[in-house]
Amino acid sequence: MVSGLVLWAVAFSTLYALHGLGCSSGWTGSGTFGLSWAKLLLLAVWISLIGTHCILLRWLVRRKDTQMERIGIAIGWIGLGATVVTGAPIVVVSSCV
Amino acid sequence: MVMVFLASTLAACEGALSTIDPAGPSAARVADLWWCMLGGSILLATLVFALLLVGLLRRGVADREKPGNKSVWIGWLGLAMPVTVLMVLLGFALWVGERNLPTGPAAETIEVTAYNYGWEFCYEDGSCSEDVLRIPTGRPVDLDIRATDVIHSLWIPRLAGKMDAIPGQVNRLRIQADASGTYEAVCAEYCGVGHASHRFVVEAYEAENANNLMGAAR
Amino acid sequence: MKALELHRDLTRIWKNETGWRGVFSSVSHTDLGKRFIITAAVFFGIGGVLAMLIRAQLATPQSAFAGPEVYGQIFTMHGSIMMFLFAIPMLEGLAIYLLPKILGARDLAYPRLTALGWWCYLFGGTIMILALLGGVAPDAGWFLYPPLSGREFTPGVNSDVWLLGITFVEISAICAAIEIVVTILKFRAANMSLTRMPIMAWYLLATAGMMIFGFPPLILGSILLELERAFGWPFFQPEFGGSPLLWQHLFWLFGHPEVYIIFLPAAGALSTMIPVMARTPLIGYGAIVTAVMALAFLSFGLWVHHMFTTGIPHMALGFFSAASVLVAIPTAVQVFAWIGTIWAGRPKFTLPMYYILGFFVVFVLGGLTGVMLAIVPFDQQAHDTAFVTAHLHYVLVGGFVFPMLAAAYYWMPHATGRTRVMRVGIAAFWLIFIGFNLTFLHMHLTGLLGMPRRVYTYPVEAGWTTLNLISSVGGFMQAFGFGLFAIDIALQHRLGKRTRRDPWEAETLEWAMPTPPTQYNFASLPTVDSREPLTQDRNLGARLAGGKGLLARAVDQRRETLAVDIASGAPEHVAILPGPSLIPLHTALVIGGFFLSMLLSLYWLAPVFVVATAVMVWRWAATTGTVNDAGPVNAGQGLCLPTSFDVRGSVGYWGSVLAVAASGTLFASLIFGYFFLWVVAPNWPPPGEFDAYFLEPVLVTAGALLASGGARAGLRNFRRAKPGAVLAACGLALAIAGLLLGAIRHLPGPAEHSFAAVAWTLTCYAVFSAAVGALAQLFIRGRIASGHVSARRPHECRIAAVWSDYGAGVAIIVAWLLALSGAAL
Repeated sequence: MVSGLVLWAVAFSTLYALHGLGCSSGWTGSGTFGLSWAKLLLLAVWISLIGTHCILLRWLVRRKDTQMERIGIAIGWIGLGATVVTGAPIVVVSSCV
Repeated sequence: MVMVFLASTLAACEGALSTIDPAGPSAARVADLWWCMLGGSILLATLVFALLLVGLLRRGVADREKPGNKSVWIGWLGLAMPVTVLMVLLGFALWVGERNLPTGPAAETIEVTAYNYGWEFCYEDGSCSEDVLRIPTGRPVDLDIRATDVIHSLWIPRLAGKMDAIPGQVNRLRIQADASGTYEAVCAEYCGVGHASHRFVVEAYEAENANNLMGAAR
Repeated sequence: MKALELHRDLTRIWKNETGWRGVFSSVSHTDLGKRFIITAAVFFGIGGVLAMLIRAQLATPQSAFAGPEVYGQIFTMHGSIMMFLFAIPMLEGLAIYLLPKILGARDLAYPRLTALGWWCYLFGGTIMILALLGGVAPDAGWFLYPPLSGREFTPGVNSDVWLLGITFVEISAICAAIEIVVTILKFRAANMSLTRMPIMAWYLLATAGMMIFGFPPLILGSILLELERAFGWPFFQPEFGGSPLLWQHLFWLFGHPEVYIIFLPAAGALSTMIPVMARTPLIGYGAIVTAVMALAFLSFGLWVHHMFTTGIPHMALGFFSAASVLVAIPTAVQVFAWIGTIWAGRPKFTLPMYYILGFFVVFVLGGLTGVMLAIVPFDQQAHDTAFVTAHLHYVLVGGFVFPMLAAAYYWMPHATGRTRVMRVGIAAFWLIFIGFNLTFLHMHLTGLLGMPRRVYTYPVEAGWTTLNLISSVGGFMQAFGFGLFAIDIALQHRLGKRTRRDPWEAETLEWAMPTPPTQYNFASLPTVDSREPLTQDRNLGARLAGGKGLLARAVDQRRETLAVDIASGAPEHVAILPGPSLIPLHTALVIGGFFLSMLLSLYWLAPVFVVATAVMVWRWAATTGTVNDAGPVNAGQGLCLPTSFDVRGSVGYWGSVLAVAASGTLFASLIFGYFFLWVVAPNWPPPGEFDAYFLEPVLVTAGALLASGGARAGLRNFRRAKPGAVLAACGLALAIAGLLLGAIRHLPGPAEHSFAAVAWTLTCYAVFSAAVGALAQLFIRGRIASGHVSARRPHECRIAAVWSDYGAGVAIIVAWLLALSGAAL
């Protein structure tokens, strides 16, 4: 029922932990496309997490007969939205300052 | 009438520690952000209270078979409106936050040490001062903030947001004063019995003779 | 005639013991719920007096009323009392009193645990208040940031009072949380599926779930800080590889969910009252359930917004800022659902409605300033100023106190069977409402004009004089309002007119019983087919009282209630609940002995109390169950159900799973702390040479696997249960030996560096978990010998396996983590 939000919690913790690790280990050297390695890694993980959300959502929408299942789908969407929004700072904000 | 009201409101904003009487670019951006958010909040609160008032006074049908309209109340008012407003606000906020960061060159980096109960400032020329921070005007200055005993927080409300002084780490804060003068500063994090008087002042000097004046003062 | 007989028999079975003994041994949820509420109200009064002292001090600049030392204790205790001794216990009291009644059950899942929780709360709170009277109360702020709260800067007992007193009280919070979750999942009316539950049950389910995951980080933080203060283990001292920020993370990881833990039950009360007051169903039941779940999760992603000024990189702040902004959306969904409900209905302007409207005004303003504070650059200006003081009071008083005042008037007729007298309550409302806004509205401006929090005085030139004076006047006005409210409630209790059974024409089952309620709630238990059983059948209460429901029977001294399938609500078994007992009181006293010996630095005495606590818990568990094969019982209406002795999924199992989840959260927080220090703290790696080691972890793994195998053998085939339990206990003993050996041979002393301190803490935690598992298995062996556990009644084996498997798992993780850390350092 709450799988969407559980996945968000996992995604959020992963991004936060990776960010902390990246900044403290000094992966700030520039990678490709003029972005730092830390930022590239975060971007890649964020996008794959969004993909995981979409897969979960496709699995959730297969059944929508009971109200519990419909609530589960809504929570799947909320999880997806939350991961997109809480990860958005990766794109627009500088990494380790 | 309006002029009197505006004048008195603006007068109410003034104060040696007022965040809404900014004297530097960082504090000014936050003050602008505040006025925008205040305006938006007043609009939203008015909307909510108006809906509530009308809802109370109109005689609904109270028919158990016909509950309220879900798509209007939950879909539009509960979801769509807040999502729109909040995403715009979040974008604006990240942009302001990004501009307030200490990136790009600074005129000077000053070592700040907070302790029970005082502040020490050491400059690039090797000199130090107690409880008075001397900076040039019109140029960004970075403060590298440390603490030796407990946690403090350096706050010069008219220049910039606050930054904690935490034992074991160095935090950098960028400040800039637009005009010469004296700016007051306080400790914002509770640091013990002397917290209320754990203060200092910032003296900003005009750029052309800053070095001479500051050198003399330092 | 038959109905009267049933009533007489049930009264005999469910009544308390007589005299003082009855007071100490009561396990009734109605009694204990009221005790929680009244105790919390008394603490609210004490916290309120402290607030008045704060306002008296700040009314004028350079006030000579209190010095900074005393003022430090006043504001620290005001915050601590209001959060830990008022808000949390008040919502627990509401849940404990109400939950079985709205679900159609006769009591909570663990009646004796309810009693233990109340005694722990009472004793812990009393320690705090005695410290306040003795002038040694905590004085480093309610958040107790080290190093200020550490031994060097708070050499006295002040911080210890907080750490130990609050942890003592939190035991009751964890107990209540587990109990609430299991009760909601298992003790409901027949056919009450999850989506037929009253909306309040969803709110309480979310709240209790959050408590299970939210409180362990705080408890862990308190343990670490107490270890640092008592034994010098340097978790938070940077010169030894610690970090003061670790405390802030652990504290706020609890502290922000805490705000929603407080708000959600109040919102649940609103979602219950508003449709009744508006005479129309709540709109968007499903949407609200979704919103509540979203709040429960998202609120765990906000904690760093209390740390926006600690020098964390902007991108990390951005994550938390975004989450903090998002959390406003489910709140908005609820607010508009409530307004929409009022819009659709014809509201009654009753006394609860006044307070509900007060809630709307105050809470919406608090929510708007909350969004402002989620914005990083603005928070960096407003943080730790009077702006935040104003905001948090708008949120907590608006989001909790106003709904609770409404709830008090709404459910008073239920608890007392009387209606209110005169119009005192309306006068009290206006005093509180106007007084509140007079105190806090312009305090936002005071903060923007630069007034920091927690200053005991301020200079005249600062320009905050008038603003503060107005706040103080408003504060005292509120105080009169709350005094008047207390008088009104007392008057209603003594002089109120007797009321009919369901004065509000409500929707939920708590009104389908006599008021004031009997100790057994329902003479027979309802079967429901909608969310609003009372709206469907206004005579439901009379029918149930007449014995026309399930379990309309009184057998021996057995306290019976119905347990259902979690999802569908189909009747599953008859739960047999324990009666009055002094064990909870004695257990609380023994736990109190432990906390007091820690507080008084009698460290040699503390282990004695730990052993005594284990003995009490053993005795407690030993009094449950039966040695007879009872077989299925007739539940009425043609239903034949087994009793809780004979089923596999009894409430004891679910409670153990949740307790292990709470313990696991504490463990996860500790692991987080380990890596946090490793990555972030200065002065790492620790001095000295470290190598990986393998002998001890292999030993631990062997023991743990043995333990798991032993437990599993018993589960598969009952004839092997007895030797299996012994094997499991021995395996865990081996694991404990391996853990201790590894720590002694390879770890430096815990006071040398934060690495060693955390490693020793991990070892101690693993030893503790494994020891609990071993005791559980030994207990099972004894139970098989005594005949309580038999081939027909094997479910306690499953419970013991939960504990021993957990202990084994923790032992393996800790052993390998520490053994391999050496190589990485």
